[in-house]
Amino acid sequence: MNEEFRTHLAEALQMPGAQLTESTPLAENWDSLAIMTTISLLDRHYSVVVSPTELENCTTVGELLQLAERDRSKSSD
Amino acid sequence: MAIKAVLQDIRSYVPATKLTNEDLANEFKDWDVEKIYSKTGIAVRGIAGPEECASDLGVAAAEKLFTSGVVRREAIDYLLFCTQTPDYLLPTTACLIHRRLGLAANCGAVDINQGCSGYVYGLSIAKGVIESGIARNVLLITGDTYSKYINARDRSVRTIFGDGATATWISAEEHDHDCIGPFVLGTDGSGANQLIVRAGGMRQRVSDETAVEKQDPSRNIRSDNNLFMNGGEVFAFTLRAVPDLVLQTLTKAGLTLDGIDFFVFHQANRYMLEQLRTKIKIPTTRFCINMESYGNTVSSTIPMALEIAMVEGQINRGNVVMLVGFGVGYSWGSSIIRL
Repeated sequence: MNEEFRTHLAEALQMPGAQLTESTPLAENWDSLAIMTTISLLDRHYSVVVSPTELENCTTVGELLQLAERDRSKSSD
Repeated sequence: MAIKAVLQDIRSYVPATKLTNEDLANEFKDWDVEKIYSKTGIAVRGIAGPEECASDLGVAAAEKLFTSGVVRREAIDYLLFCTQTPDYLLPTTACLIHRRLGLAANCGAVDINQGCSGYVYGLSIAKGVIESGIARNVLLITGDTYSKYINARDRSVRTIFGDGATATWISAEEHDHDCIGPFVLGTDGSGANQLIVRAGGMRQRVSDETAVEKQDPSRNIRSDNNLFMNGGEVFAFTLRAVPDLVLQTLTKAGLTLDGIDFFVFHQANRYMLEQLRTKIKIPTTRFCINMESYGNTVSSTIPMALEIAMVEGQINRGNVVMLVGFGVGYSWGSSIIRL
C-alpha cells in the first residue's frame, strides 16, 4: 500500500495511520463522506475511479485495494 | 468581421428566506455541522417562499438587469428560460415571464429543461440564434426551486441545494473572432437514475403510492415525489467526465490551461470542486469557488459566480474564461467566453 495513501485513508476513517493495515475493517466511520474521500484518494494515488456502490460493499482496506487493482487492470486492457 | 454573440451582463436573485447550517443543526440533533460545512463549503441557502416559483425568481433577476440600464426591455427579441421546476406543466414558463417582463410581442420565448449544464447549453443556443441572424438581443434566464422537490427529512440534499435565478443579456456585435465558444457538450443517460425526481411526469404520475416516504440506509427520508441524489455516483461521474471535458475544450480552442484567465465550474459543492481542481491541476488563484452563501443553485451557479467575479474584479473585460457545467442527466457542457 502506498504510504501517502495509507495516511490519507486513515484520516478519512478517523484512525491513527500506523494502525491501518490491509486487514483493517471499514465498518466504523464508513459513511458516505468517507466513501467519497476514498474515491478521490484512489483516483489520486492509483489513477482509477471505482464505483461507490462496490466500494460501499467492501468490508476491509484490503478489499478496497483489490477493487482498485481490478478496475485498473480492466481499464488498461 | 462577422456577427458574433457577446455575453454583455448578468444579474442574479436569491430568495429572501435563508436556510443556515445552524437551522439544520437545530432540526437534526445528531448532526455535526462543522463536518458538513468543511465538506460542502456551504453556510447559507436561499429558499423560495411557498408562493414563490422559478418564474418569480427569474423575473426579479431580469428586472435588476433592466433597472441597471445596461439594456432596455424593448430590445430583447429572444427569451430563453432554463428550469427544471416550471410553474406549470404547460404553458411554457418563458411565456409567463415574457408577459411579466413586458417584452415585445415579436420576441421568441422558450424553456429549456436542463440542470447543472443548463447555462452552457443556454449560451450555445443564444450563440446559435444570434450568429444565424435570428435574433440580436437574447435574454437567458436560469431559475430553479429544487427546495420544493426536497423532503424536509433528507439531509443529503438539504445541505447542498439552494434556490435562485440569474438573467444574462447576450447580444450581436461585429467581431473578427468568437466571443462565445467553442463548445464541447456531452450526455450519458445511463446516469438518469442517480439524480432524479421519479414522480410527477407522465411516466409516473403523482399518487398516494408515490407519496409514501421511505428511509434509506443513511437514515434520510424521501418519497418518489422528492428529489433523490446518489451523491457518490454523481461524484464518481464528475471525476471521470470533467477532466476530459476541460482537456477537449482546450484542444478545440487551441489553448492550454495557461491560456485561460479564470475557470468557473458548476458550483456543486466545495469538496467536489477541490478534487476536480487538483486533478486537472488548475491554480487556486484562477479557480472560482463561490457557493458559501447560496448553495448549489443548479443552472444558476455558473452565472452567479461569474457575476460576482466580474463585480469583484477577479475577471475583467478582455479576459478569457472557461465555463464548465456537469450533473443531472448525466449531462455536461463546457465553453470559453471572451469578455
